[in-house]
Amino acid sequence: MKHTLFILAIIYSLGILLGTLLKIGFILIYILASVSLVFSYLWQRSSPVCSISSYILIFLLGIAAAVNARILPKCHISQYLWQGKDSCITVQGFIASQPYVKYNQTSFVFKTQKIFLGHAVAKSCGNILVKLKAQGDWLYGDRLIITGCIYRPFRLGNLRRGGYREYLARQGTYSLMSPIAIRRFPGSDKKQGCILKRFALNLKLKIEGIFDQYLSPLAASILEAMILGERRDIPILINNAMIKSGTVHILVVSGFNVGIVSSLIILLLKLLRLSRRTIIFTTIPLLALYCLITGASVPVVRATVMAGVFILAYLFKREPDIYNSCGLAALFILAVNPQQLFDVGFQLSFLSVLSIVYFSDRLQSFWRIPALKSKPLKFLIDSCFVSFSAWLGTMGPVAYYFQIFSPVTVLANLFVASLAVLITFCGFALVAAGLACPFLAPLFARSNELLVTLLVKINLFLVRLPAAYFCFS
Amino acid sequence: MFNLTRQERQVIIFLSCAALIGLGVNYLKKISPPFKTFIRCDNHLYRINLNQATETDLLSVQLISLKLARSIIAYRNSQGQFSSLEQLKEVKGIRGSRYEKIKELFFIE
Repeated sequence: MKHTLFILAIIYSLGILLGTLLKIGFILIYILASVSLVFSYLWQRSSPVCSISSYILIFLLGIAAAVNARILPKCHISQYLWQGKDSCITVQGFIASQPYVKYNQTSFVFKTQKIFLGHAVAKSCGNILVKLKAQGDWLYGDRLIITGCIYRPFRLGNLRRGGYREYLARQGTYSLMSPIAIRRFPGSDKKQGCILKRFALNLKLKIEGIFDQYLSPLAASILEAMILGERRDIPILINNAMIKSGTVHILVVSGFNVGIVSSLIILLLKLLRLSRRTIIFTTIPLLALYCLITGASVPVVRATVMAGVFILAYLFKREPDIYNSCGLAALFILAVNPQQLFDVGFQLSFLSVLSIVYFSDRLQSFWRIPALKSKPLKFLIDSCFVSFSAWLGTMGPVAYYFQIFSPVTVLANLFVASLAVLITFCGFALVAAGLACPFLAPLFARSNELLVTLLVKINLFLVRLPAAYFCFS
Repeated sequence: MFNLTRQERQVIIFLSCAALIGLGVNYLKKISPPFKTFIRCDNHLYRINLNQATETDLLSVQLISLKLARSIIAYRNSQGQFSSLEQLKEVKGIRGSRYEKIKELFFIE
């Protein structure tokens, strides 16, 4: 079959959808899936029967994964929410995310290992989102003992997107904590967590330091968003203007950025005249490292898996199928966390890629673009079609979730996306210069400042055009 | 159109089998540990010894400022070691509600 993985991803997603909507027992689904597996194995020789049975098996696996994701372990920290608002608990564990400070408030995800109640201690698991009004020198992996009140997240925010509580639940966090005491684990400086993630986060801090040192606060905030996926410092006015023009996707690290990074890595490695095999086996780990630096959000994981498939296809001299690589990326993400299916980022990321692939080719054939002789004109029309296709595919979900309809998106993306490519290249040049030869860094910093100013001005101009966007609320 | 090749079917069966085993093990792990197996633990693990606390230890409590931490240490140096947690109330800046909130974080030894 032509798009096997794509069809399997759709069937698996339908299973997750049904498993989430219906309250089905895990054991029942597990038995049904096991029966289906045995049936598929026994009827291997009969093509149609085994194919149907395999599809049913994947569907049941989707349901089982969704049901299993809802079940929390008995020692999960959220089981202690009954402690009430005024009662405090003490937990021991380690910081599982990069702590970030905004308006003098520090937040981080804390992975619990032990819970202390009175004079007793018990094993616990699960994450808590810790929020405290103080600044500390904590880092990913630090072992801490925290005392505070735990409570359930509020159901505020955009309820069409599920609200804040559901958003956190999809990330695996079911409770918040306001600490009254935080101290390091006595007698141990040993850090916990993934070594690779710690290395990636340290590198991220270094790059943030370079941006902050050489750029103005506005340019640094935009570069940090575009290259590192860190959006916390972006001025709210700029962020809103980007949402209205439909170009906010450049302020998050997405497939677009991963594409630029992978081509940049391949270009640099080619300049070193390395062999094709070396280039490929160096590019894939570097892309995985970049994925970790940017926080491994859904669009980045999707783009990294797809880029990996494309690069490996290049190695084996096979024609990569974009639908299948998309399906593989979706299966990979949903196997790790089935709840990501309901994440807006997941839906928009896959919808935009699929609509670009589906509509762009058809539009080009319809208008007979391949027959054009002028290359710049062909490139311009191609870019227009890509932008239009992405807009067409994501228009519905964007209108539903964000209550905004932006006809200016197609035009805005032509200018803003082109500038974003230049900014990303200059940003990486600034990072390289900042690390290797700091005397060259101010030169790239000036180019970045100019490009960011242009980006902001063009975006503001486009948003002010008549009928640029319509808000429903 | 939806017919799978023999190789595709074999790969699906193998991966589904692995996924099913993984799901089963994960489910058993989730339901197996008893809800609460509390054991008695040492105070040092989760509380601060008021008679040995340094300025840094005291500052780890969000409700204690630098000034208050210095006051506690000054009180301990002038009055000798604390004999009960109630003595904390005699430190300037620690009264009713604050005392109630922080008393659980300390112990006397």
